[in-house]
Amino acid sequence: MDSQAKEYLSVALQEAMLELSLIMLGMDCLERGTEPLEGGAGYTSNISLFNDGEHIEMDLFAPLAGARVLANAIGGGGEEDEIDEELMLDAFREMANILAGGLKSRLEDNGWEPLRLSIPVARSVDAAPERVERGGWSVMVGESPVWLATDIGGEHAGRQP
Amino acid sequence: MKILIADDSLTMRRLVMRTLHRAGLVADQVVEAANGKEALDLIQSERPDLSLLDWNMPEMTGIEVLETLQAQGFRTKVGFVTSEGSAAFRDRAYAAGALFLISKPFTVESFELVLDMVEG
Repeated sequence: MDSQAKEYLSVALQEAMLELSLIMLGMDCLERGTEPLEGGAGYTSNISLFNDGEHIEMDLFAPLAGARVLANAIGGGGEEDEIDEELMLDAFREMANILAGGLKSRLEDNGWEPLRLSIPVARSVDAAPERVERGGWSVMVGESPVWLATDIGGEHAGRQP
Repeated sequence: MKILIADDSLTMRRLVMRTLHRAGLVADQVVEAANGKEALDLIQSERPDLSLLDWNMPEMTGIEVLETLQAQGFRTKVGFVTSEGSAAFRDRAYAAGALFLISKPFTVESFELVLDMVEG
């Protein structure tokens, strides 16, 4: 894999996020770049893409209020509907899965060797994951801020495209 | 029409159901499975008219379910709804007898297209 293919990672992630927002959540997705984190607590999900030679870790993080809106959007509830903890975590796992699937297809189409996806893991957290705090980039999905971060083989690749 | 939806995510099973409805499918009965083994058992016992399988599921993957059914000579209509959308996965799905592969994120239109084909 050449460096150009690696550099494509951020662009592919942004495209996959846009696709997830518009198609599955029915919301616009606007870039915010490296906006500072707002508040601490929220929901996060993590997933890996890997093959024999590469390993990408991806984190998605949303503060509490926005996380609930996103989970309702993908789960089909209204914004005011109560959503229990199990469904919140399920929705965040699925968002990571869809996002990683979109990223995987794009990377493979751009010269990466076939990748495999790990089982996504979601949890509620008091603070954003370290990778996000270190240099995640942010988008507004509807009115909800979301941060994304990736590491490729330990090399931080979460910079804004 | 009896439909089976197999996905380890309840959120996704609901979303698939909702999208099928929007695509105009009238399901008399919907059977749900939360893993591949459960899907295999339910396909054999409930004999749905159409089964929609996720690819990556606990216990058995969706493709393992389909390949097992094929090896047993069990005839049924199966399609995939999955985040695995690459050419290699599509080739393997079609080689195993899948009717279609809808990749996530999906639209109502992507379901309409394949339902026309399945019902036709």
